[in-house]
Amino acid sequence: MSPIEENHLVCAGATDTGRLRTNNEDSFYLDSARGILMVIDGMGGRAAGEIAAEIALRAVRRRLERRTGSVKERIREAITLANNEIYREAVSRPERAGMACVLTVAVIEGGVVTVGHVGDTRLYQLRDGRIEKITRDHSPVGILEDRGELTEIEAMRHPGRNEVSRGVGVAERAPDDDDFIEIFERSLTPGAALLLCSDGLSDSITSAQMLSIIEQYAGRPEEIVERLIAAANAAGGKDNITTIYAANRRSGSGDSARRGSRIRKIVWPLVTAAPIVAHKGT
Amino acid sequence: MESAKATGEEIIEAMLGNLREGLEPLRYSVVAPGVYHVYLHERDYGRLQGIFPRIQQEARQALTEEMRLLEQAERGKGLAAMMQSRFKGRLPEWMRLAMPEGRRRNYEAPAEGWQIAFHQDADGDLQPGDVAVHSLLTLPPQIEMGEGLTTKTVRTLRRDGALSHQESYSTASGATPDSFPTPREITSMSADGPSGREYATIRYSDDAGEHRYLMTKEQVVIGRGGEGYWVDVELNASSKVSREHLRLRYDRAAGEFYLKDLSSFGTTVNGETTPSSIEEVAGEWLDINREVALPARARIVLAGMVALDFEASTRRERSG
Repeated sequence: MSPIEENHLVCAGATDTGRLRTNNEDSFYLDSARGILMVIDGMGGRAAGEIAAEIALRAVRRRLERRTGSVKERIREAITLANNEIYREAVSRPERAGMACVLTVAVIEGGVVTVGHVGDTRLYQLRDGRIEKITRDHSPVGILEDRGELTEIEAMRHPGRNEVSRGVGVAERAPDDDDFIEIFERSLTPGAALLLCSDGLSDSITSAQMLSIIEQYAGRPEEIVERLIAAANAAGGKDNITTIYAANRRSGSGDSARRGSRIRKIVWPLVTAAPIVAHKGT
Repeated sequence: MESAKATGEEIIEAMLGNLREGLEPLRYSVVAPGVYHVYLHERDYGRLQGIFPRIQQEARQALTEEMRLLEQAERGKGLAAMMQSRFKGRLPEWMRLAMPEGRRRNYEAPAEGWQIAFHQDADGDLQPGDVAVHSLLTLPPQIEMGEGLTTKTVRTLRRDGALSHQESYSTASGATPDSFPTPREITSMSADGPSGREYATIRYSDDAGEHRYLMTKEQVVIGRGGEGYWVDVELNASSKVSREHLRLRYDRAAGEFYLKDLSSFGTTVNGETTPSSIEEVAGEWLDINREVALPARARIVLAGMVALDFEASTRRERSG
């Protein structure tokens, strides 16, 4: 039994520039066959954030597609390779100085999701009608929120919200540096789902709002990601917005007939193409 | 005149100076930088490289001790001041202990332990004998709330026996590093955790010469490396040696080392061929996690091209 055959993911991802920014420094990657989900939020002046996100996507993907070592090792090495490549680019070219990114990557194999996380992109787990944030933000405000010293809404409105304390590409790193990659495993039960997002979503709508949209469009991942982005835009769309929704199909349900078909749907609501454009006012 | 040499003691002295400079007083505690990057002139670096683990170990001890002494000093001062001004020294012990503590603060060692990395000065700023220490303290957010973030960097230079310090705060609204923002070449030491372990030594020669690698982490990847490949030991060798040739792992619970062969042209351990861990499963090449136990001393030969002499450290600790 290959782990590949064990994944019955129904997923979709989308990214959107939002309503205020002129460029999109977010990026995402989705490979339902290998069970790889990743959201990246680039940072840096001019186009550098986009470049950092692009380097991260390519480097992480390249390492994760080679399935040597344990999943945790693969993820650690993948993020480290991305980190060091971004860092070297950033120090060797003045116009890219200081570029970096934050990212969350999830690899689903054999009913277990392994998560590698740096920064303030997020992963939520949806199960039994509940939504739970399972990554901790590496940011001063996120730490206070996780400690319960700030409510979710207070944290969303906090002036220091956009500061992060960890980044990919900030300094040369090794895979097991203990103040770098946060890594953990969770079991992914049949019927459970994952939501990854950049802060453009989680700064705009609450997890309760996310849950209500997900439940309203249950079973339609493309619709879910589009509606989530639309909701974030409706709330101001101050930042780039990216989200991935992936459901582990309930075994024995009607879906099981399509098992193994490795449904892969990626939605790219580009400024000129997708219905979300309606919110842009252009 | 003979040029100066930096010693381990001077390095630790520079680190302690940096610590004192970097202390951040809060209301109930005083926090210290947890991350120390030590930069040395290439000559000192080369000479001291072999004892870095030892210097790290002693430096951690010294840093912890320094915090304790500082706390005691403040406690003494605080107590004396309190007794003189308010109670004229006539307060019974039990009552004194029950009193609010005024300005007696805890000197907190960083929760993640002291992290120390050694680097060779790549910019030519340092002279032989110089020690530069760059420390980092991410300030607790509840203090700095609303004032922006919050990483304090203290740069200490020890030159001709004198210490000088510079302090800077990074308050960029983008990424704020947990670690020092401008490191140079980072050695294998940087992966070292707070406890300063050294699991094994690997000696080998490849096309670039003779090398000694200290295994200071539980997992190492050995191979030629290349784009998309993380390797801890990068071999300059024939392309018969795979980019990711093998993995070594120290199992803390068992107190044993294991080797996993991931190569195309194979690996031998003390002359015996290691089974490959790569197998085709459902049309894809997968790592099936097949390992062999590695003796405490072993000669590991990669693709018949490069020999590694592996020797487990005798003082590696086992966890219960």
